[in-house]
Amino acid sequence: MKRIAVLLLAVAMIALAGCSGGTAKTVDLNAVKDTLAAQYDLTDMMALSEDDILDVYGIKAEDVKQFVALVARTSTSADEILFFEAVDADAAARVKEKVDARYQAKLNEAKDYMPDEYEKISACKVETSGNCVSLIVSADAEAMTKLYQDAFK
Amino acid sequence: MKKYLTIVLALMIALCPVAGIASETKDDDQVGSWLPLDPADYTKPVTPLPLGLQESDPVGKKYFNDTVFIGDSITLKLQRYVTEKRNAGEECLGRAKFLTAGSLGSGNALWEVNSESVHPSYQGEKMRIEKAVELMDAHKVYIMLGMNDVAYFGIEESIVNMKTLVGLILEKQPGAEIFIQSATPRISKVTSRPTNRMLFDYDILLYNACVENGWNFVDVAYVMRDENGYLFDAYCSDPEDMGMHFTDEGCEAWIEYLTTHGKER
Repeated sequence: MKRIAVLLLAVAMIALAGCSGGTAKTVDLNAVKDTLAAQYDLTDMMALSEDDILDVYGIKAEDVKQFVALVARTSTSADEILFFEAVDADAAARVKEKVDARYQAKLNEAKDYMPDEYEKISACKVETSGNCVSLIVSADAEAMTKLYQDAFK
Repeated sequence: MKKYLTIVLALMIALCPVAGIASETKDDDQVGSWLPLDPADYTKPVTPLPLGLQESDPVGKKYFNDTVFIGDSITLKLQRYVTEKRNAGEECLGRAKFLTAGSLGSGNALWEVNSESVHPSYQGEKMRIEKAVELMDAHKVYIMLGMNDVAYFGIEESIVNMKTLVGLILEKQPGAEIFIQSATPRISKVTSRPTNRMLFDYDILLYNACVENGWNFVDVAYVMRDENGYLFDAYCSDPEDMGMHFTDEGCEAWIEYLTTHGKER
């Protein structure tokens, strides 16, 4: 009986360790991206690879369980969609730090010469939920963020 | 006969501002036979020939592997284009790296790094350009800056800032070969600063600085200009806005120019 209780406890702990921060739901971040793509035009965005996320954000592959990183194909759009699920809480903290830095850099770079993009970025924010870190910069960020959050419910 | 002589004379006058340029393939030749160019000699913001490195056979596949491209939002688009190609499995500029940031210029690159500065990031850490070049161990350093300098600092000070920046890079990475790319033009309907003329004049003085200092000049702007010196419409992705950023087609022209205007050691 004791062994079964320990086993159940272990299973519960593993389930609680995901992005949901307690709701035990595992979310496929690429599926979330597909849901967004079905409702919003993301054709002007391009996906970054594992190598790219190290080069661009400084996020190491070993810190990440799964990710989606989309950036605008042009350099005059600040649009960016970042979903990271870190391997554990420590890694999540490191990823959050890098995404925060990215967000600040985007603000700085747009401030003086792309006022519309600056406003767009300012209206967005980095969010964390359990071991997941996200940033959605888009004119539709609010609605997209809701879709992202709904995926964890 | 008289007509023939007139044509020859006219050609000689037309090519006069670039005397000694077309044959430049070695730094020694450049310095030895060179007179500084004067922007005032050009009525239109165009040159009859590209300045600096002249057309050559395409560089080898490994040529760009030890290269970093430094630039602002213009180069950021090149970075995005190259990244997309590579992620699709295509070879594109070898393994060249990029150090880019929107709003970057040779002026603000000299400022201290702080939470509001626009220094580019290397592996997620914002840092001075010279430090990043050192960490990357780049042996070829291609720089295209000026769009965010000329209107704010003026042409002369922008040149001084570029010289300072290159000096700092060479202090940290002494063996690096420097390739300064000309600042590219804007489309005809854009009249805000920096104007096309300002960018052209900056490019001429930048070329002079390259020859003086033994740096390579890669005249990318040459292939981007129409006969009046404006950016080709087909190469412009933001004609209703800043009129200076590139389309994929513009990036292709850029890459073609880079690969056919290299300097093999």
